[in-house]
Amino acid sequence: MTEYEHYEAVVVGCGPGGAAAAARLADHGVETLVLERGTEAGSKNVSGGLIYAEESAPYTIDDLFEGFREEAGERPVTDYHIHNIAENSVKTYDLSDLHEDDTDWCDAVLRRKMDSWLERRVHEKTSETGGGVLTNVRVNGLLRDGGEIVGVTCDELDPIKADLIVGADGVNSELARDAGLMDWEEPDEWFQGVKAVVDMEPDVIDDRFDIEPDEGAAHLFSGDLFEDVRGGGFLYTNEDSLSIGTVFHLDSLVEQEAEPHELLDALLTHPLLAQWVRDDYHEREYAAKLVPDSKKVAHEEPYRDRLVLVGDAAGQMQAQGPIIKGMNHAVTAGALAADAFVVTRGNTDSEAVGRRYAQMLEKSGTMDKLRPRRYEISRTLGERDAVTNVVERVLESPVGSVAIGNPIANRLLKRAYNSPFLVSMLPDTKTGYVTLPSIIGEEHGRSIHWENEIEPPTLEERIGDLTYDTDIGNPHIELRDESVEASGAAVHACPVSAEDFGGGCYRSETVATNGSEETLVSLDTQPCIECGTCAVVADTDWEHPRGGKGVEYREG
Amino acid sequence: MTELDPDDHTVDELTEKLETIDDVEELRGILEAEQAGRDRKTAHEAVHRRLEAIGAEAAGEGDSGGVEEGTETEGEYEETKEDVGEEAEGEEVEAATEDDEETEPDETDEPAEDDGLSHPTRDKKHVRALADGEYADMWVFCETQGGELLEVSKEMLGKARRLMDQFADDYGDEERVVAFLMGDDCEGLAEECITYGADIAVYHDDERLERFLHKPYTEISSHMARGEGTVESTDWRDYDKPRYILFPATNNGRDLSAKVQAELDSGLASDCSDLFIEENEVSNPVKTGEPGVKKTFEKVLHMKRPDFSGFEYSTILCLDNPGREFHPQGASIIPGSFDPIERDPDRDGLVIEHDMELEEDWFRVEITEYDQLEAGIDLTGHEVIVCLGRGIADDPTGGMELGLDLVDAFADAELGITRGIVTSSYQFEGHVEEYSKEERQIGETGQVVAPNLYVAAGVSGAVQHKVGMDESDTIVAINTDTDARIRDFSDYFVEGDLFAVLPRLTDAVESGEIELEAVADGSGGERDD
Repeated sequence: MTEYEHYEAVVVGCGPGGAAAAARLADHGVETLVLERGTEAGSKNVSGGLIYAEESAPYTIDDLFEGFREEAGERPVTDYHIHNIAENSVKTYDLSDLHEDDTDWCDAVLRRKMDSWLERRVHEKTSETGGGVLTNVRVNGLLRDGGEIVGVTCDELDPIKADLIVGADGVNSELARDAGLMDWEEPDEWFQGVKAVVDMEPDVIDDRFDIEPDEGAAHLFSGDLFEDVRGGGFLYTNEDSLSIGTVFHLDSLVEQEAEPHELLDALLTHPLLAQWVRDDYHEREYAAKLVPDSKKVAHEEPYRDRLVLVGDAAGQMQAQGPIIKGMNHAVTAGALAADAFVVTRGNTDSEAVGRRYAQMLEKSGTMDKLRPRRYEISRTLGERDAVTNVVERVLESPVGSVAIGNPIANRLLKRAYNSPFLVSMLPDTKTGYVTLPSIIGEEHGRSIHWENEIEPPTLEERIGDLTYDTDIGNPHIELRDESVEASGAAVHACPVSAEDFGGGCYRSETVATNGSEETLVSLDTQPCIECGTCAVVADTDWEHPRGGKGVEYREG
Repeated sequence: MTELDPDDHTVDELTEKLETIDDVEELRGILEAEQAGRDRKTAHEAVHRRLEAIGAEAAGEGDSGGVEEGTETEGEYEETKEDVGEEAEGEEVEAATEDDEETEPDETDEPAEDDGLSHPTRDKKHVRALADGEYADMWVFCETQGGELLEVSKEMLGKARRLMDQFADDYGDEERVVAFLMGDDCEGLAEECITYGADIAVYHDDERLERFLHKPYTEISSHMARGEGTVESTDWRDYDKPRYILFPATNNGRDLSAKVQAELDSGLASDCSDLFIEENEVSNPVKTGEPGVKKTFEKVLHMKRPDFSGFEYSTILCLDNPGREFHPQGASIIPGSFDPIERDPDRDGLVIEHDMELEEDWFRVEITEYDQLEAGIDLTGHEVIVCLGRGIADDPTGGMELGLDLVDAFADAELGITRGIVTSSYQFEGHVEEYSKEERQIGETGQVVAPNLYVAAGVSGAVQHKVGMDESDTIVAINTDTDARIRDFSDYFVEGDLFAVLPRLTDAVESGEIELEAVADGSGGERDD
């Protein structure tokens, strides 16, 4: 076999998971090379925007990176509410108890700033042990020797061998798929989030959210705002901007043929938003990402040979009702993977590190947060359509509404929302996301008649404002089947495509061939924001663009 | 005999002088003088060796202050940093260029037994290595193709001009930019080199040189650079070899640069993207001749090159060794790295025909056939561009035909298309299919055009399209959608279906008549003109 460059550890991806793994490896004196496909860490990364430090977690990001909160964070969340919406009627609950449960601190973040700061710290640490961070390098697969994973292959560099490979390459992990640990098959295993980062001066934020400069607010939205699409919205305050977004079950988006950017606009233009944003709406960036549903896909054995997966790559994204935690689990997983490597070093079995890592995830309680057993039990009943329909009918009947509508119920509801135990049991049906909140809104809510002056940009303008370095002549996604049946769902589910919009990625076209007409789907990858939605809902060969190419997020 | 002052001598000289001294006291005196003076470790060693030789010291005794074997080799790498990933900060990695295989003239230890492997180049004899040579000027190989200078040749001349102007400011010496080129009938191109910044242009004409050939091109280049040839063709210069030399990092330029620099017995920094001249202080003992001593080299060409496909930059220096000088300091330059200077037909300069016999034997390789690759479609430089967008969706072939009709109606027009068409699944019939390809795409990822008249039919006007055409003088948009973005940057907006509007426009252009009935006075939107 050819002589390849060798490192003790190669970490793929410099988001929070990769950064935590690399930093911890470097702390242990392990020679660690970090490969990041963005032009700078964070330029490819998007999140809703809250990072938690849990009291029960073995590692938090500020344990590993001193000064994280001051340097990389935005505002801490000191104010936490959920709004149940039924048209103009809104019932708001204070969720502080739920939010503060097991929470040491929680900050809003923007990923470009956060991850690029992490990258610099990681480079400092890893270069002391003979490694470093290389950006603009896309790892495109696993290097195998006799069928065993021994390293990684890249678009830009020769293959690199390593004793440990940390796959921290995000939700669309090409390594996880190459290793056969994850797939892109089932829409019901994924959420799709879209987000707008909105300009706002710090003193205006303080004033409109009634907070101090060192405080921040988080608001969640649920109800009939989004018609029958299962999901909700969020608003977080940053230092001088707001992160406003919506997150939906991908299968529900597909079923309802909903346009993600229109759902975001539905939130933005709801009267409730008028209290915070006036006619001075200026959108800095439109972004989207897929979110794995850890309840279903968090891999219980996220390893193969010398490869271990951390963070989104392993499906480690906890989303249960109003609790949305991903980055903190990625940090824990990354650090545990590093520890597992160090304690099993010298073991001749190449999977020893992976086994130890999985044990540590289990023992530290991380896995139980990601895949709660209570959910496993309740969903077997709760997600069957028949059960859903029965519950729906009861709720919509006068009896149901009265039950939820009486004053005692109101107190109980608040307690229920604030109980991590009950929240983790919420089945993922329309009931939890739409019916229940909208009945709550209708029965308990007060009517809001503020005039919303927000004018969201068009999809064309949103795409036009993004920064791309297009890899001309080298599309990273190939449409395998251009029929509507196979790939038509992408036309609306893709956050930068829409029905009757010619400037997006996916477009449906009626084509006349030899007298007969058929509708086909065509693809242009130039506006692609690399969220991975079409990999799940359409028939594609999906890869990331080469290092440094494609979309570059400035906010993230 | 007065006591020897070691400070006056190099270590080599000192070693020689010491051979004549047998007096222990005197030797110790010299050692003390050295310690008080320049305190060179190699000088200490030389004295200790002499003391050993005359039996005043046991072997190894004086080694405490000496240099362990192997330290020198480490010194070789002293300046080499192998940091990865600092490219954001653009941290320089400075490396010594010369290979460490050659034996130092003052190295005292015999190399280990030759195993035939570890020193693959040890038998290499350098033929014309100079010491105390005279060097001047910056030479630029100006590659030509099809009877024209390559763009990169002009870029290098521009950079050389700026570097040597700065050189004159910094050092007060007016050294020249010398263009050298060869080909069949290239005197005119030599004159062209003067207009792009050369002071001297040396050329060699021979019909056999029309195309690049390794052997004759290498021989002629080295012959020129060494100043060989008749008095008439070399009396403009009085140095041994060029101080600096630049080649283009093209396929031919890369070949030539390696061969010429080997022939001139110097080094090469390949594929550079930046150059500057300044002094450099080094402590590498191979370069200083003395461990622990720093030496400043003047007028050093700093050659920056991207490594790891641009993840890291190294700065390559080509520095003389004490007994062997490496000139010209040479680099090959990535095309597009620099800007040419403005062409000035009135610039003064000297054009010199180079004179040498070309041996028949150098032309054993013969080019029997060559092919020029298709250049694709150039949409720039036309008076009119007719661009079609996804408005043709109802009948892509018909729409394309209408667009082509309008193109034909103008004297100098071309057809462009949007990216939306290139990436569509439209089925074009055979006769128009060739117009639906990427080579006609206008926009950010296609061509950028600025014709007098731009007709955009069925084009929505995405930002990516706009950057490819908004420098056009007059923009006419045809669209059914009055909210289409293109309206914001059109001079004239025709609301209508391109299938109806294009034929009428074609008729009007062909007949030179148009019946206009204003349906709107344009007050619906603001216009600049």
